[in-house]
Parts: sequence; C-alpha cells; structure tokens
Amino acid sequence: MEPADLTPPDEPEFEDRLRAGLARPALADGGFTARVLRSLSPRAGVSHYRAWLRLSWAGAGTGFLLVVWACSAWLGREMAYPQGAWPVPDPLENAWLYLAFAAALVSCLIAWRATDPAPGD
Amino acid sequence: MTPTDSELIARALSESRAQAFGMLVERHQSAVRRFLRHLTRGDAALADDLAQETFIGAYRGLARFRADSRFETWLLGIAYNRFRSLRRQRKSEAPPSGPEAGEGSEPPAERLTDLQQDLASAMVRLSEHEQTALRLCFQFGLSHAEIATATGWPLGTVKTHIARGKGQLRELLSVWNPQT
Repeated sequence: MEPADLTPPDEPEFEDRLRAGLARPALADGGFTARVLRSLSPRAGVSHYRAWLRLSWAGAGTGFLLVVWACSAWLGREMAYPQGAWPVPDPLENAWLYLAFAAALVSCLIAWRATDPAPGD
Repeated sequence: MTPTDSELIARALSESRAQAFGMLVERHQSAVRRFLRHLTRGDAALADDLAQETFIGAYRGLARFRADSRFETWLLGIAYNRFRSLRRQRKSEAPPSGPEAGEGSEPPAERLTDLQQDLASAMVRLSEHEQTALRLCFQFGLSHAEIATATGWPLGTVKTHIARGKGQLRELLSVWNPQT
C-alpha cells in the first residue's frame, strides 16, 4: 500500500519560498563537458575493447599452441621416417596446420584493430 | 529543433556516440554537479570528479537506461550511488563541514539573496537525508517517486524526510510565515 502523502495541502506559499530559496543559477559548463568527453575518448567502449583484447590474446595463444602442436607432429613424423619415406600425407593434419596459421594471423589482426581508438573518437 | 533526451540517448547508442552524449552532458551537467556539491558539502573539486565518474558510468551503462524515469533522475541516482560508494571508502574520514551543505565553497560571484541565506542557514540544521530529499524535491524538481528511484529509499521514507524537513524549516523560518 502506498504511504499517505504527508505533505499538508495548504502550504503552497511556503513551498514556493523553499523553491525560490533553493534555486540557484545553472552552473556554467566551464569545460566540464570537454573533460568528460576527453576521459571517454581513449576508453570509449572500454568493455568491448578489453573483451576484444582478451579474445585476441586468447586466439593468439591458441594459434601458437596449434602451431607448436603441428610442428611437433611434423617433427615426430620426420623422425619416424628419416629417409623421407613418408606415407601419403594426411590432409586433415595439413588442414590443422593451415588452421593454426590462420588463427594466429586473425588474432594478430584483431589485436592490431583493438589497439586502435574506438570509432567515433 | 533541440533534440530531446530520448533522441540523444538513441543517437548515443548508435552511430555518433561521443557527440550525442556530449550534448547530454552539456544539458545535465549543472544539475548533477550542483547535487554533488550539496552531497560533498561544497567541495567543488570532489563534486566535479564524482560528476565526471557519474557521466562515465552513465555512458557505459546507457544501454541499461529504461525510459520509465527521466534521464536526469537516472543521472542523479548514479551520482548519489557514486557519492555513497566514496563515503563508504572514506568511512573513517569525517566529511568536511561547511557553513551550509552545498554552498560553503560557492564562488563569490554567486551572491545569495536574503531568502537564500536564511534557508541555507536553516538547512544545515536538518539531517543529511532530509536536506537531500528537500533539495531533490524543491531544487531539482523531482517527484517523491523519482526521489525514491534516485536514492533507493522507500517512497514512505522519502515522504517522511520531506515532511520532517519541511516541518523543521517551518519552525526555523517562522519569520517567513508569521501565522504559524
């Protein structure tokens, strides 16, 4: 239940005086807006920026691990078949290698883009 | 034609973010800074720092703004929360006292009328919550429900603070109202 309005209805004059007594002229901006916008500029969309940056590093890290894994797999096969008498190359394995390089490249591109100022700044 | 707050918010959420938000800051900076000057007891520098944080917070949370209240009410609510957070951090430090909450360090250019001076002197006798409620109501023009939204107080508490504050002011300023 909504509480009763405790304001007596017969005091509009007193309330008018309160309004007049509390009234103040608007504060001049004095560069405040510019200050706020400056503080927003490098951090505009900061949450997105940080999210992209983290994602980029995660992507770069994943890409790097994939490259290491692919290289070690290749090295292992090289050691298993030192004379180059390899069996028929496994296309899936090669695809992983290409994917690893692509992931690393995309991560680098995203990281580079994320360090740019946010659009509109 | 001057764009409304809603139009600027829509713009700030879409393409020209900074420009539209700048217009919102320009439009509401005075109320937010004035309110924070009251809360910080006239510490203009601290009030402006908090106002800056308020607008940054508003910018980041703009998508969460629901048009069920005025934009200025929403901003004053953020400002009040910022101030409360700061006070919690500085719990051990006593807030600076001034001759009148919010007016102690007003620039000299801002001369107060006799009426304003009388009221300023009387206001310091009220509790902090009563002052805040009265200012939000009579200085910033918020309704009781909007004050409840901005401060997080129950509506009944808002009404009680305003009624008590006004009652005390009526006594302190009985010269305004000789019949009382």
